[in-house]
Amino acid sequence: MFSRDPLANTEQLIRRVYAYAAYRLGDGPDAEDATSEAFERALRYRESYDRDKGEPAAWLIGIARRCVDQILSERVPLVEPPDRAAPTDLEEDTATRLELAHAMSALSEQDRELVALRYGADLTARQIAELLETRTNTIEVALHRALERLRRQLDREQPNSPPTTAADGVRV
Amino acid sequence: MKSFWSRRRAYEIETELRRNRPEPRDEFVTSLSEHVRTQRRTPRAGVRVALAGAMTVALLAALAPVGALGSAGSAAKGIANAASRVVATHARTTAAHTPAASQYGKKKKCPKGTKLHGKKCVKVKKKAKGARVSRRGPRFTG
Repeated sequence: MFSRDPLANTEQLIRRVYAYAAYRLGDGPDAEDATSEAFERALRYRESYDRDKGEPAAWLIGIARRCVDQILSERVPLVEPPDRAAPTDLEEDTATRLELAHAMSALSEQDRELVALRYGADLTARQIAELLETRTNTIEVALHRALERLRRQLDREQPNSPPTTAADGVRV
Repeated sequence: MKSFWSRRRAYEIETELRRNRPEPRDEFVTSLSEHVRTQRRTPRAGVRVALAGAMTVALLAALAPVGALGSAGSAAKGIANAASRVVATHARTTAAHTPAASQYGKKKKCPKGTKLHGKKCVKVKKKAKGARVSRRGPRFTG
């Protein structure tokens, strides 16, 4: 339903916001906190939602971004990346998920945000460009490079290798 | 040990990112969506005030014709009274039984052969001839 109320399709929105937050913060309580806070703020300011400016999901992700940024700023700087599990011990899907999470944690904050917006929140490149106030083409290029770095990170054979830095990343 | 990703060289990272999207716990989704639903249903203070205002206006609008009719009715009555006071001519009051009235007032006409006797017309009695003669006085006899 695409009504005047931006929170009409609540469950789907919760899943999208949570996926976005989890890609940036990691699966777990921090992502839940960010999601809850985003919805609290959305409830408080839902009168300010203007449907002409975009979908409710994009509006809500804009709120969630600030919640995630706040949690990141309050975090202790050094966070251990999630342990990499041995694929033989776990189900394949779970192993894939854990490896993805591990590789994501090795990306720069900007790359992680782009991947989270595109594949967590399921926003289009155009929506991301509007949210980050930049051009769609810039987002597409930055996203392509972020995926390339993620792929390289996943392809690393040594489980305990240091994470790659995003020195050659496109700034958005 | 080879990584899972190394074993699947042709894998599509985008597909995997979508497929392995982090999912929230079901309890978390249920409780948060319930909370959101409850909050959405609760009207805000501003909405409540606006609703009360709207209902008051509606009530006034509904009752206004009734009050206006009564007011208009009484106003019309007042105008009519005022107009009648200005326009209407009062009947002249006359004293009915005054000496002037009896002297100059209209006298009742009686048909021929009758005469007014009080308020009624009564027949006049014919007098005898002799009587008339006698009225002339006695005959001159020289």
